[in-house]
Amino acid sequence: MTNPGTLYQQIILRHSRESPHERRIAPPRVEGSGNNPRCGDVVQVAIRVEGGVISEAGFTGEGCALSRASASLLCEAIQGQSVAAALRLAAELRVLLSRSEPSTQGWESLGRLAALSAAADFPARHRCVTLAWSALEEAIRALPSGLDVDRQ
Amino acid sequence: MAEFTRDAPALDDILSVSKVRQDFPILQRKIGKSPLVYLDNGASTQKPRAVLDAVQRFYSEDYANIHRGVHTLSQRATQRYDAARETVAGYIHAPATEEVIFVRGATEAINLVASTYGREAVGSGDNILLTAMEHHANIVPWQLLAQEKGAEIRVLPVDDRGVLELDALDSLLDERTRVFAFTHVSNALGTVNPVEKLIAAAHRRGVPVLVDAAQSVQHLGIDVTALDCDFLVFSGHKCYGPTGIGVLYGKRERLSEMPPYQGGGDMIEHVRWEGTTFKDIPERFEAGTPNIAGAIGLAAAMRYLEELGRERIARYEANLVDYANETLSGVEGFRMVGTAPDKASIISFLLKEIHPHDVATFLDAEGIAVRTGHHCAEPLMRRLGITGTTRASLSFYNTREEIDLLAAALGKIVRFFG
Repeated sequence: MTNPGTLYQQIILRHSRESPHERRIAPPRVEGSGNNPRCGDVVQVAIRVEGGVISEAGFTGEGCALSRASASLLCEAIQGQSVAAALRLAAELRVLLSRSEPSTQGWESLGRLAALSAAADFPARHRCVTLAWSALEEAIRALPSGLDVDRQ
Repeated sequence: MAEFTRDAPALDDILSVSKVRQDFPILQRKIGKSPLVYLDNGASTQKPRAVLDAVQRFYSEDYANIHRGVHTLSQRATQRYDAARETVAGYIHAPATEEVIFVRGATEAINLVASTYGREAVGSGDNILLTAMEHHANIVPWQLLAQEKGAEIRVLPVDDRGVLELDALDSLLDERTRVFAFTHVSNALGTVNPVEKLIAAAHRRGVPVLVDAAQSVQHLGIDVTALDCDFLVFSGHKCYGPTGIGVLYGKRERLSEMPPYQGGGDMIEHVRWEGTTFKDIPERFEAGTPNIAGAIGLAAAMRYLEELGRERIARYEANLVDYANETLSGVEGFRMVGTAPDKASIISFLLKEIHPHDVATFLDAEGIAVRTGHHCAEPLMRRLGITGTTRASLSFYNTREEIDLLAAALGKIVRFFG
């Protein structure tokens, strides 16, 4: 059993306690939500997209330290990114989490999101990490098609 | 270590727990480097060797399909299956063996009643009374029925302690109430409901009752004759038996009037293209090859519990819960959820502002198994203004030392999250 202390690095605890991104962003925005029927947790992610680029992101909801930290890190990571890049990031995160032999390899390129890498060792907690990312994907699906999405 | 102040006998005087633990092979295993501390008995209990052996022996020595062949094994299997029904009937004091129907679990039992008795009895404008502390399994089947029939779901409220507000009962029960379905013990909070009072109130209005005994049959012992309930349901796997087997008890006069649940083999008398006639109870409600080994395993579990002594089990568990309440209350930031005066072996709690999932991950790292979340009782959680809790649910094979381990681990978690 991996020591759960590795799961809760300072950066995770800090983002889960008080996140600058936990807020409702002003319209125009699109919103998506992710929920975990196992625990009842819900995270909403809202983004504003201008010219195919996510200019602002925020999250609301209730969840555990991991899901809150993941939501906060997500907002930090996607601001200023293109919608397509944000989608790629979400896909990459899922792949890294679900590898059969978890390692820190591959996470280096994700910057501060690498703090989530320890969760790979705790399959029961994967959903906590991906909750906000599902919400992001839902928000992107809610974008008026072809308008702001840069689908290369 | 908390000083246990209550005037209690040494637990070993009630039950030799070290000997009892030898009966459960899984309790000897480790989780990582830590011994298993299994405190998730409300979700499912572990199995004693008596149950494992009974199932193994049946498959190795007597197995064949039942009610079919004239060959020796089929007859032996049939006898074993019928004997299992007798054991279960005896355990819950059913007046007649055929009033015990084998199903997959409490969930299927409730669905069976809702879709047979319910479909006949409930019509547009009628109502179904539930309580605010029901498990989803005792909500959703009735909701589906109410939607189909245009009936109303009524809810007996709970107070902040997790106690039913009985004063509201008389205004909720009326001449259009077709069934009152409620849990004996709350799976989320441990509240023991005053079943006798609830049944009497319903029967004064001529309303049949269904008791969900999924969380009580393993702790309190059940006497359906004394209770005079119309239906009672429970799952085998929560009372030390195998998964996939459960019981619907129903009064003969109720069951006999109900249409079949599922159609198939074993439940018919004669099948003609013009129409089919059905067997009497219990077979009428057991279409297809049943879970024969499951029933035999469940009967073995009930014999095991009888041998241990139901009264001793209840006393041991009550004593252990008292110890747990006192010990855990000493943990900084521990807040009990559900403070009813009468509670069974379930301790639901919050730890400061720490999310239950985070608590459970730390506990698991020390080999301590608990359940977290809404415990399939979302309406109750909403009523209490929370999304979920951490739940430790105890069994007679748990020890004071295990409670101490839990308390110590919770203390560490509080210090970690600061």
